[in-house]
Amino acid sequence: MLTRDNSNSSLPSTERFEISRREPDQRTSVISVQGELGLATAPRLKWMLIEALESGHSQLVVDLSLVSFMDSTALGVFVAFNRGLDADARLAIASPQPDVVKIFELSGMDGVFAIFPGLQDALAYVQGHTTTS
Amino acid sequence: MKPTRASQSRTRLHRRLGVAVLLLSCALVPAYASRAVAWPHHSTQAPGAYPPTQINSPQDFHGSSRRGDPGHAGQGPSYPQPAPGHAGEDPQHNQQNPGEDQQQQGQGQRPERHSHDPGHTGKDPGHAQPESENNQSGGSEQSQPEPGVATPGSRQEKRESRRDRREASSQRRHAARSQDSTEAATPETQPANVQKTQPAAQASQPAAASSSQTTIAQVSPSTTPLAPATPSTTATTTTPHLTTTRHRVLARHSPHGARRPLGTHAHTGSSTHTRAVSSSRSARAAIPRQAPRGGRTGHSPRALKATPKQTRSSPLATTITRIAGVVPTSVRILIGLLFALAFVLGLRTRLAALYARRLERQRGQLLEDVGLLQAALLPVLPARIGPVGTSAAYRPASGPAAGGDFYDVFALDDGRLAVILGDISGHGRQALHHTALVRFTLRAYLEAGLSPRGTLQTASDVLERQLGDAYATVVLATYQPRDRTLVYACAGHPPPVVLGSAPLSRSLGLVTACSSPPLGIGRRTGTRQTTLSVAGQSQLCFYTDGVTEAWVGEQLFGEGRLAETLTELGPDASASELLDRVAEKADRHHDDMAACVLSVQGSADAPRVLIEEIELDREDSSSDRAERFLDVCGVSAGEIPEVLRGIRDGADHAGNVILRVRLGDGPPRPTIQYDNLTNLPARRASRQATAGVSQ
Repeated sequence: MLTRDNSNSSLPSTERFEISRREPDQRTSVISVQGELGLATAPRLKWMLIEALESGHSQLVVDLSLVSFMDSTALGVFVAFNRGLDADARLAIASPQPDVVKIFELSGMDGVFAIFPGLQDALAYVQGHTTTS
Repeated sequence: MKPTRASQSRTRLHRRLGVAVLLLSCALVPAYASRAVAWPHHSTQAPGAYPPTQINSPQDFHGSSRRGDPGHAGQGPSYPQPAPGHAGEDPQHNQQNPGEDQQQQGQGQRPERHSHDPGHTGKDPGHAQPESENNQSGGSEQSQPEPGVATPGSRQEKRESRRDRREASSQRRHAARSQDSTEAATPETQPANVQKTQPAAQASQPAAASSSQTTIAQVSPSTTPLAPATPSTTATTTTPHLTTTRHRVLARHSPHGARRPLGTHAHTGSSTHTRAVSSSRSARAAIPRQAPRGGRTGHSPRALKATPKQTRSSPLATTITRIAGVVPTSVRILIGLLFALAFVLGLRTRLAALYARRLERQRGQLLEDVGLLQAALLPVLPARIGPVGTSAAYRPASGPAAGGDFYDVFALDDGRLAVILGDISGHGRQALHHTALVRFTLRAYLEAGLSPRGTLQTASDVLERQLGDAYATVVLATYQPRDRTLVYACAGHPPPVVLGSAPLSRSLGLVTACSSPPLGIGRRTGTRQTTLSVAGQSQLCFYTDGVTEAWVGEQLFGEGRLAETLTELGPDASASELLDRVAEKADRHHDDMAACVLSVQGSADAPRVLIEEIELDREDSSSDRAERFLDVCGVSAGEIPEVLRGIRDGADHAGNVILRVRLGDGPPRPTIQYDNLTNLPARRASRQATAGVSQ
């Protein structure tokens, strides 16, 4: 039996949701998400990712360390965005909580995305791509 | 589809408005009807002959009210004393003078009227013979009382006496003439008048008494029994035949004396005849007062024409005409407007009703169509397929009844039962065609005999191009009742909840690691499959994430609550009951919900075995995927490197291998199969097809 532990789940309201973007260098964006990534908030993640891409950043890290919940809508955002990426662009997901990892795993997306337990690993992954290319 | 509701309420409003306006109109009419009753003179004079506005002086009202009129005889409060003669005589007025009679009137009647009843002239518009007319028509009886009124004193009296004499002589002449004409009068007037003259005849007695105390008093009794011939002096003035009969009588008996007394009598009523007789001045005064009106109305062609119409019409029509006559023009316009408004509103209501009916018909057709489409997408399941109870349900978050979720349960040739349940990204209309595509594609491969995993793998190659930007999460399952084996494969979809009398132990938890991704995201899928032997009485519940992602307070509904709910509902629970209960418990749900429940009866001693399998290619063999899978399945750490080596060798050799781990009977036992023959032909075929299309 698999059971999703919902004890950490909180209101799916947008009030607690925060999203921000910082630019460690000219080609890298780190998007930090806080709160719940669901039906109401997933579009904001999508627009933030698109905005980063349009500002010329091809190395994208999404920090999910403060995300307590993620549903299929957010998964859909990641899927759609990942499909639209150019060959030289990279997306990494950094330090998701166990619940979120389980969602990736359950949906078979854990093999689709580059998921790293820490932010540094994720940055190294996307930037390592730039150094190699 | 609720567009008719607004129009319905609007229709209702219009209907109410229309009814209100009609009621208002109907309320106004009686109000004036009561006024018409209260003012008798109005009702008599108004109809056609003279509009109410022409009645100027109270004397006019008086005069008219005193004159015997059936309508007022009983009602009019101001009517002094309705003499029987007056009451009876007016019907005659009302019924008389159709065409010919009127012509005769011109000859026979006028002079007589002048002679003895100036007051009378004013009474009946149709027959009122004002002095002015007489001046024109009857050459001999030119001198009329009008000037006499103006000149007071002895001169006036002299003139009056002269006039009286003239009138008397003219009356005689006319009487003689009209006698002939009466005999030629149409029979039409006779029968009706015959009866009505009787009261008139009775009335003539006092009238006669009042007019010429001696002469007519003798005459009247003798004439009374013979109604038609009765010289009802007051009443008959207007009726040609009566007039003529009276002429005859007058000619014979009281040629002279009848004139003025009769006139005054007509004015004052029987009770006041003495006064009338004595005061010739009052009689004279009455003449000019009424003469103008009589002259105006009685002579106008309109009045002459209108009178027969009125007099012949039914009481109802008469009443209506009377009422209409009393109502002021402004109120008439108002009532007209109200009726027009009521008509318009009624029309609109009718049109709206027609429109609503048409919409309702269209709605029925659309629902029928939608029902057909829905049935194509969400099939109605039989209650049982073989020994397995089946049910499925769908609960859309919004939009049409069919949307992003889909399911199907059907029997396969070899006795197995197949389940398809999935969710297209997005929901509602946009997902509909993808829903149909995915469901029927998967069904075709399952019916062709592929395993659930093989179906997903093959279909993903086909569907990848078809789905465009959309993707689908799916769970496919087959259940073989003979050995109670459930085989399922997921693509980005949660595995089924298995409940029953012999629930899975913790050590036998379904492994979700290394799950396959959804269909249509450009990744290889259909790489994982689970085989489970079902023990005892069990429920297998397939569901979409709309169920588990519903919210209860601040928490997700989750698989735990789903299993609880299913347990509460008992072993016979249907999918629709389950979703209803979920919807009750959940505060809100954003996505479509679908569920499919298989109820399996059976003994509890079936062996419980779980086989997890994963297909790995060369790339996987170099990643940690295989290692993770083995770890999650509980394969001992010492055994793993050897298995990984075998996998790598197999992948190098055959391109891909299938790693199976058997759980439940003893320690986990991993096995590697090199042959992937089940899937190869189909995959090869689909890849060739893909290549062909892309070229």
